[in-house]
Amino acid sequence: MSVISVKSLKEFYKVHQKEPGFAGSLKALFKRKYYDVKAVDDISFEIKEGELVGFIGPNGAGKTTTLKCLSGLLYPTGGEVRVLGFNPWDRKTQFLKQISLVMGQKNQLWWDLPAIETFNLNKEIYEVPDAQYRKTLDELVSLMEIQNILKVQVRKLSLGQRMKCELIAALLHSPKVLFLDEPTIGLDVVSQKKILDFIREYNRKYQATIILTSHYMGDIEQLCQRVLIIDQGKLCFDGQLSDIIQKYADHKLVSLVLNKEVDPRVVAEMFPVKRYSYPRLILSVKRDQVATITARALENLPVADLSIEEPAIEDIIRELFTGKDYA
Amino acid sequence: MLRYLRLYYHFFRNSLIRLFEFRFNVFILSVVQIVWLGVMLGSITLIFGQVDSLAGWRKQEVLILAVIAMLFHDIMEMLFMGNLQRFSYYVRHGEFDFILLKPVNARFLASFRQAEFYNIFRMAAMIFVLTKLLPQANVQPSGGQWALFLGFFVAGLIVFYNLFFLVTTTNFWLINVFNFNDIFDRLLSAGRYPVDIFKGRIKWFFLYIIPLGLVGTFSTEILFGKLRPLSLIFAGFALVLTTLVSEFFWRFALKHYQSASS
Amino acid sequence: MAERIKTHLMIKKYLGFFRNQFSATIYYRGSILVWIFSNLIFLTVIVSVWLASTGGQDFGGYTQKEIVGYYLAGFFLHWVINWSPFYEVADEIKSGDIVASTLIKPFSFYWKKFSEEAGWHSFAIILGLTLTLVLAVILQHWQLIGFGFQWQNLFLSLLAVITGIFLVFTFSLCLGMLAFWFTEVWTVDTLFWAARNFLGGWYLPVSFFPGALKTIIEILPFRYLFSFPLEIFFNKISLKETFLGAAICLFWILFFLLLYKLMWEKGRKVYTAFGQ
Repeated sequence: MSVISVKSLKEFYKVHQKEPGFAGSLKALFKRKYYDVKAVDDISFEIKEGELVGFIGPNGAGKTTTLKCLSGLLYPTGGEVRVLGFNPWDRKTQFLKQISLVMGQKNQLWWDLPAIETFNLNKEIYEVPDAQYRKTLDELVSLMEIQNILKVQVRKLSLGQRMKCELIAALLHSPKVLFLDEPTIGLDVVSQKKILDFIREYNRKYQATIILTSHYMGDIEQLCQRVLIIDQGKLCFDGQLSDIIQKYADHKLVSLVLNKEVDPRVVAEMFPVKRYSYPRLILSVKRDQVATITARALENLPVADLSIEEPAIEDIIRELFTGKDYA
Repeated sequence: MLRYLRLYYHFFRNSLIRLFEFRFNVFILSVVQIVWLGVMLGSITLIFGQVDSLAGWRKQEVLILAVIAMLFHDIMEMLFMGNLQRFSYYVRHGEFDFILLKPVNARFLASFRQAEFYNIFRMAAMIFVLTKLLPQANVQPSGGQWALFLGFFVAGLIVFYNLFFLVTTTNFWLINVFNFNDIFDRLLSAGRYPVDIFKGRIKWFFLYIIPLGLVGTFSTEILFGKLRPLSLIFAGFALVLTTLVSEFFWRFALKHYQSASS
Repeated sequence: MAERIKTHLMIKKYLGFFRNQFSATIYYRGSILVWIFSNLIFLTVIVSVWLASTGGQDFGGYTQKEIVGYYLAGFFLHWVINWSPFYEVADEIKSGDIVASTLIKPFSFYWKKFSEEAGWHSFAIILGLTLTLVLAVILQHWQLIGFGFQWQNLFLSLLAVITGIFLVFTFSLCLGMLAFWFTEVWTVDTLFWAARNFLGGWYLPVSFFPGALKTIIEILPFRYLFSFPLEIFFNKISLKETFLGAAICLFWILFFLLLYKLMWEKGRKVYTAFGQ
């Protein structure tokens, strides 16, 4: 039984096109030309309870738009969406009480008050029973390790601390479905890791269904088994992360450490160099040629160390979307 | 219904906590606000040193009206204006979603989330001033008159809240207009004068289109024992009409927002 | 009130924009319309109030038609004369920008700020003048406005406006520099405007103040921030009184100039001491 079911989702909207310059501005006052933007163009997928799914794709591909359709913020132009059996667009109270959407860098906490006050307020808004609230709050606070900043005003917190509080605020009502839109954007490395660990733990412990979009491949790699790749509003791939490598990467990376300088031009002539900055040399080798190239390298280069790796998911994705600004 | 009352209690309580956070600021601001009150009353008194009547209203009557209208303005500021300004900001910057995601009526959340208490001392000062001005003008309203006064006053608050909310909702389309609150301020200040100062078509405009009479004139007249003909019916009519139109337009705006986003 | 000031500043910022980028203005046309509309409401109310006032022979020496003119001219004057850099100065000090922009460079803070004000005001003058002339023509048509115009009054009042500008500027500059020592200085600005509005002729002409109060007002600087040029223009004070007023105005300009110098010296020390 799917928790999230999307069939042929379409989300188009009209944007008016303004010609540049002064004449364009004047023209815009009188007649406007509109054209259709196909933010989401016929996407279908199903997600089961407890899955932790990643959405990836270039900027403007339609990821955030899809999330907004799933949470009821946008009215789909076409298709059918069902989350927890509800039509999100209806915005039924029962539905809203079971979901949560967290958008990185957009906050819902009261700025001048300690985070705890927003938490208490959310308790009232979501009508969480006292005992359950206290239990959930304690668990979340200890998971995030923020006992000592609960009473500090939100405006005095660092970005990382604020994000943790935002997450807690979003989880106090124990939502069954959690949408995370770029939750780690702008955070330092340490905070990023803490947030990711927390999400993983939360998913494991509460079997919450989580959809995550992120700019950083690292986030997706760490958390998600399953990814959906969305490009120009269409679904390009829906499956296991490991399958992407199989399907889209036809090469492997042979990584060498040299113990003597070698002329880069000579190296380039003999081998498919991906990157060379002494002492590291990385070759991008077709799968069926790995054995031959490796042997040739060991024969002709002063190799101190060698390893064979799968290409980074990031690189694969980048190649998939060559020339585009991916996320 | 009960749920919303409880929610409002929490909003109010949180706002009160904010007040204590900023108590020093609020104190200074209150002093300044009371200075403005003094300036307003002083100006009227001095003007009446040279003037006998303002559209038939005498000095004491004008003073009382000014104080009541300023009280009206301050209550509007306390309950709504800050929220409307913030709401305008959220809509214009696309940060409105978090309100829509809550399992609570979005209009309620947007309008009442935070109460501003920085006028609280001035409001107290004004009530004090009224206790002095009313007997001075030989005005001793009966219980019934006070009830009617309160009725007009509260009706005015609701009507103007509806009107301002309606205007602020246009921010969904007019993304570049950030200064609606400026007009609201001007209008509420204009309500400090008897609505009779206007003539002809302008009077018609300020009686029926933007019902300035409901800011102070109608309610104050009750205290003086005058009930303007048709004012009761008008107040009731305005109440119902503005509520329906603002709600209708709000739902329409939401639908528009939710089908053509970004 | 704070909202009104913020809006005023934002309008200021964006009207400055206007001069350079017409297209950008088209973008903010809504806000400008709102601004025009809110000022129209204000003017309509003021004019209606005075037209609905009845009483003795005149209003503090002004006939009814004159007083309508007073407020209309006052409205225009308001946009011309308020060269107040208060918020920019306070912000620059609070944010520390002042270090890079002025404390290190060898030019005068005073003139730098003055020329910035001149920048946006020269434009606002054109906008305000247009609006005022349009309204004057309308009111003239309805015969609601009328006063005795004399060229020498215009000339003298223009001089009074210029000195008024310097006074407003220097006074506000000093107030803004309080930011060197205090964090919440905006209340000072609000009080400044309250005083100017009440004692400076904005809410009511200063001739409404009786006897001893009137003398105090003539000594205080607020009158010269607004009322003085209007009094000259509407021929309400004699030549002798005008020169006396001019002298007092110049006194205050000198006073605030000295105060500025003092605050600047002290302020710089405080500032660098804290290594902002």
